[in-house]
Amino acid sequence: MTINRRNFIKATSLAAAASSAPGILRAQSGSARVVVVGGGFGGATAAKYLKHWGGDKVDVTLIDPRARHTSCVMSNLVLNGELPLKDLRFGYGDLTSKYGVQVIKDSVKRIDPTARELTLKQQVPVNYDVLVLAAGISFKKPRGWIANKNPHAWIAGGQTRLLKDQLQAMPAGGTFVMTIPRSPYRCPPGPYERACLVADMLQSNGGGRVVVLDANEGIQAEEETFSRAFDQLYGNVVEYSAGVELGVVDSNANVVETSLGDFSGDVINIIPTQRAGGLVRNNGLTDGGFWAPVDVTTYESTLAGFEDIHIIGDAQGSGQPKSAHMANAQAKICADAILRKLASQPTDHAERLQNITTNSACYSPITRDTASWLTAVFQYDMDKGAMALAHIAEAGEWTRDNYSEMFDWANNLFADVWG
Amino acid sequence: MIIKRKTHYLLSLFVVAGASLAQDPTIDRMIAAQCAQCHGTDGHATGDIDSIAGKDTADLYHKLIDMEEDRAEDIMEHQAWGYTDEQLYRIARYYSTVPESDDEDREDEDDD
Ligand SMILES: Cc1cc2nc3c(=O)[nH]c(=O)nc-3n(C[C@H](O)[C@H](O)[C@H](O)COP(=O)(O)OP(=O)(O)OC[C@H]3O[C@@H](n4cnc5c(N)ncnc54)[C@H](O)[C@@H]3O)c2cc1C
Repeated sequence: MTINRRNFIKATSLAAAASSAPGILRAQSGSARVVVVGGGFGGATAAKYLKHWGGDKVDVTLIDPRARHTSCVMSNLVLNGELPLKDLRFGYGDLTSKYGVQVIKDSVKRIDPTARELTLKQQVPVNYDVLVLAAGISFKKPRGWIANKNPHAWIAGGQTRLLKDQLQAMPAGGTFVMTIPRSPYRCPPGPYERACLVADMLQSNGGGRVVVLDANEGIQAEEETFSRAFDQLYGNVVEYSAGVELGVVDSNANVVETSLGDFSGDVINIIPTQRAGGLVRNNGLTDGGFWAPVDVTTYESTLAGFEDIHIIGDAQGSGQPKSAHMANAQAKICADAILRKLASQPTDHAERLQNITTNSACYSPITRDTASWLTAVFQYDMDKGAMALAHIAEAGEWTRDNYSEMFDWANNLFADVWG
Repeated sequence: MIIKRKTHYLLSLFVVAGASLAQDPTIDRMIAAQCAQCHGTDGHATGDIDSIAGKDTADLYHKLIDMEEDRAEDIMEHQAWGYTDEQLYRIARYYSTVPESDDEDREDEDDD
């Protein structure tokens, strides 16, 4: 299937090039092949909306090594036993049956942007006309760190279960140490939310210590909410320090070296420095940096030689918060741009540019039955050629109502991505 | 602090009946898709979040504008603050074109 496709496109490329269409070469049948790599929040949304809006005009293939994606969203509630991990697993069945997305269960190893070909780990190469990369993050490992002993639990799955088991086995009055990397990292409020939930667990088991070592100058999101919670709810448990550089981690001895001295704990949660997933970095799409530079009106790479390669979600470096809600938002702008290009329509006319918006809205559990929220809207700034913050707000408090709204919010998000 | 800056725009909008607004429905769709993270694909929500599929343009637009006029408190009011009037109008216009599902019809009767 893929092999013939390539030749067919080559044969029709002259005709396509003669038209005024920007960029993309299409088969005469009119359906271009878009390949989406990564079935997480960004990739699954892109695949779904490309078909939802593009119908038969576009052939969409989604590639992910796993049959189901495990959501990081809500995964802190696995740690305190409020949610089973299995409830956070999402397959691609609806994307296929409702929208006609083809799914390949495999991992992409290499991108050849000239031949427009992807090398897979196990199966035959796949060709694309347009490529969307939503491969998430990878870690810059601190020296000495062994993830199987000091879990990050920042990509959900086995790591989440490991941290949960370690927390459950913690002795009464024990110490939990968490390190937070420099921004930008995935989910700005996530570490503080986790610190609150662990503190809640320890406190109801008679106490203990939650040592939070933040490489940043202060709390990175919902500052009002989290400082109040650390102070008012968990004053006897949480010890928060900002501006702490992480050194060597001795995972065998459960000790972390930092600029503030050595810390030992019963459970150590290393959330390491983050950068774009290996696939994006190893194929030159970050230009040696941590994140992929993109044009936020299309999410196409701005680097020469990577035409028709789009990067969405946590791996791109547009300065918008790295959240699932945002990955979903960006996927829709990207899908819209790809479909316009395939229809030989412009993507850079004023009416479109003035209406490029993205947003993030999320709830953070603060105790086992209360939550706060954070919301932000971004608008495209034509002068700067970048997404600019139009409005941001945080709840500043935690309530039971928010906690129950959080489940409605998450279920709707999950359904908009995989449903 | 609370400026009723919307009123004139609101009136003129319906007097001119959208004549001053650009009409490309796929742009409406692109803006409106940003609501779907919470309100469901094409506005069909699950749980206690409002479904907005098939709502009357003027009704939904007025609701969104009202959110902007008041002191924003809840998460949705703050979301509305981030959009221009024209964007809110176009969002409302898009959802009016999406068919409601049957159970949403029933829900609607209990509303207003
Ligand atoms: C504890 C925690 C809580 C969070 N809570 C929230 C929240 O409440 N709200 C919110 O909006 N965000 C939240 N986030 C952030 C959110 O999870 C991420 O921002 C989001 O997952 C980013 O989406 P993505 O598509 O970029 O990557 P991901 O969702 O991580 O998806 C990446 C996918 O790519 C696949 N992949 C990777 N490499 C390859 C390859 N070579 N070939 C094929 N496939 C590949 C992976 O298998 C994976 O399925 C949270 C994160 C954490 C850690």
